[in-house]
Amino acid sequence: MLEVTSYTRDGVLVIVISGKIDSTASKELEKQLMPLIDANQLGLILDCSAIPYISSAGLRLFLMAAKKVKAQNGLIYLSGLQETMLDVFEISGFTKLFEIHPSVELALSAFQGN
Amino acid sequence: MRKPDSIIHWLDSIPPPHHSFLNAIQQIAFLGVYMGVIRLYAHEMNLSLDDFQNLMATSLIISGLGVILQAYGRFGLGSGYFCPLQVTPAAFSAMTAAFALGGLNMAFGMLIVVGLTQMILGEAFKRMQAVFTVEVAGVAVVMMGLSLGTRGLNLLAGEHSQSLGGQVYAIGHSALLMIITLGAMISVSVWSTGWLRLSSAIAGLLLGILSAFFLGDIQLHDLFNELQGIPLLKTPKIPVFGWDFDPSLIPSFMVVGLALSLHGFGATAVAQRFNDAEWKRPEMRSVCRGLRVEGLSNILCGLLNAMPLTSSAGAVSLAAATGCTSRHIALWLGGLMICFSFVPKITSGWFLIPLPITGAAVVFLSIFTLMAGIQMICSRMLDNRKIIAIGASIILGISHEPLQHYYHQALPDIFHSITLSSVALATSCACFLSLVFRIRSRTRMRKCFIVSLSTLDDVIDFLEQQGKAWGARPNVVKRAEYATWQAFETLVDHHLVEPDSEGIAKINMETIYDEFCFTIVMQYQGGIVPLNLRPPSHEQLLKDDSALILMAGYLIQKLADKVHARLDSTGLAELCLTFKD
Repeated sequence: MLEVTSYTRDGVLVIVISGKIDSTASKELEKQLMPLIDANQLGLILDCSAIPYISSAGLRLFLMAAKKVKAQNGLIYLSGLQETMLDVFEISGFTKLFEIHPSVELALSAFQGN
Repeated sequence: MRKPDSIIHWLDSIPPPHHSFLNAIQQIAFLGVYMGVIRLYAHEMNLSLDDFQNLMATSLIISGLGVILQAYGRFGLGSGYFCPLQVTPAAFSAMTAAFALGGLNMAFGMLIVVGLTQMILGEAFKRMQAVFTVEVAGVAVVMMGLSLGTRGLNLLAGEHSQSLGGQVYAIGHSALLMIITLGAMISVSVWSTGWLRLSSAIAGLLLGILSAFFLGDIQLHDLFNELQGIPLLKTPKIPVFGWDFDPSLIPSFMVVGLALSLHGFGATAVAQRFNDAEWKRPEMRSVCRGLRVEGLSNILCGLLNAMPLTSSAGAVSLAAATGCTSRHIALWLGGLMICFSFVPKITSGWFLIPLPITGAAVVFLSIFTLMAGIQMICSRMLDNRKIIAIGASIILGISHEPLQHYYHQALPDIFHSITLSSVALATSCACFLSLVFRIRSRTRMRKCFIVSLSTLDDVIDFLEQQGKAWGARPNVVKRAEYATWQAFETLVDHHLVEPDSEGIAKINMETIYDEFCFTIVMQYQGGIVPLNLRPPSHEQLLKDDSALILMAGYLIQKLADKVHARLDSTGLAELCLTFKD
């Protein structure tokens, strides 16, 4: 089951995504994620520590999010990717699209550094 | 094979001479603890000082040759690791029985049987990869760590102090010496780098000896008195006693050979583990070659008259703890051992080190050995069978110390080999249980997933169960789950699975495991997943829905080590994913 929660920390929007992102879940996630991106021009952190799997449909959604944020000159950071998730991001070349940090705290410090 | 981060001088590196010398000296200081076994044997057999010194010398020479052969052996000899040999008391009872029958000639001559048994068992072990699994190796190494730790603490408690060192210390005094020594070893190991870390054991020993001197445990005039009558240089008499043979004693010496082989298996496995950050399973060819050297060494022990030897897990751990597992150290250690065999004054000096100090060194090494064993066990997924096999074996091994007399009396003679040590007892139990639990443990499993009734979680649960049953590595199973999940979703979402003759759309999934590979075969009626070597471009992925299946095919191709897709003339499609374990 997909769950999306969000909170603001040090002025940065953190979105926590939990659950497997298959084709059905990615449609639901798109509905929730895109309005949040629109409302936060500066950018955001996606906490992916509770995502065990992501399918090609989920990857496409991440790609859409990255393009949207960059079009708004914002920043999008990913944090806490599990080992296999990180493998998938590397295999698909998505590590070039996102700045990836081991934890939300480190992503926040990087955010503030920029 | 990848160098672990904690290792400074790895297998083939050549450390600077002062690093090599320091490492060899601290290995000698550690192995010297086991030379106490010779002192104990000499005491029990009422040997003269001359015979005792000869016995020390021959044991040092063979041990020195053994460590060089283990590291640099050719023609099928040597494990290829820095794996020193230590004197073992495992053959005491068999040698005592032989002594009663034919004197010391017989006691030492029969050691040839121990060596031959080890060489034969090495060949057998090589063919028994399925029995000597990662879990069995882990149990052996855990027990080595536990028995080392217990031995070290026994030295503190003074249980052996009278028999080995001849001195008895007050428990509070001993504890203080041990804490100082252990504290120094741990501090140097944790908070120092470079050459100082390489010498953490010797630094602890030196500080311990210095403390013993200031606490009054070492008196200089006693030291001079002890060493006064011992010659500086002496050529050992070889063979010390000669040799004799009695066929009726063969079974009891074969039993010792089995116990030492199990010990050797564990020591080589721990050497492999310490030297490879990507260690997956015991490499049995290396174990077999290592046992050949151990066997050859024990044959030489029989011929030249030396105490029996076994691979030292403690010495291997010392090398790992100090960050130097280089084979090159074997040359220094072997060379120094052979040189020291001609200098009885130095070898006798070993016995003047207070036992709580050597006990601290043993405890220090036991920590590394124990943790290596736990890591080996935890590197695999465990189902109930494996949990029971590991848990029961360790409990049985721990029971050896308090119940060894009971086991010796209550069990038939045939089981005496496995009750000789906690390592042999636990390893035999783990081997036996891993064999028993192979009953009804299938290497192939099939399950039919009806597309309309199955979820992706059902697929993952099925694979997870297989991974645990087979003891596969968690990251391999995770990768397999990921690829299969992606394949399953693609087949269902893109309507590649068509109803069969009964009108049901289903996927027959078969999992095959052969210790080295985890293979998943999916069979169904319909079309095949397009497998791509390149991912679709980002623009394609955003604009074109059909790019999703291309990305899925690319991910499957990349996540699996080997992918095979085919479609036969009847419309039966097959997707086969192989993952190397």
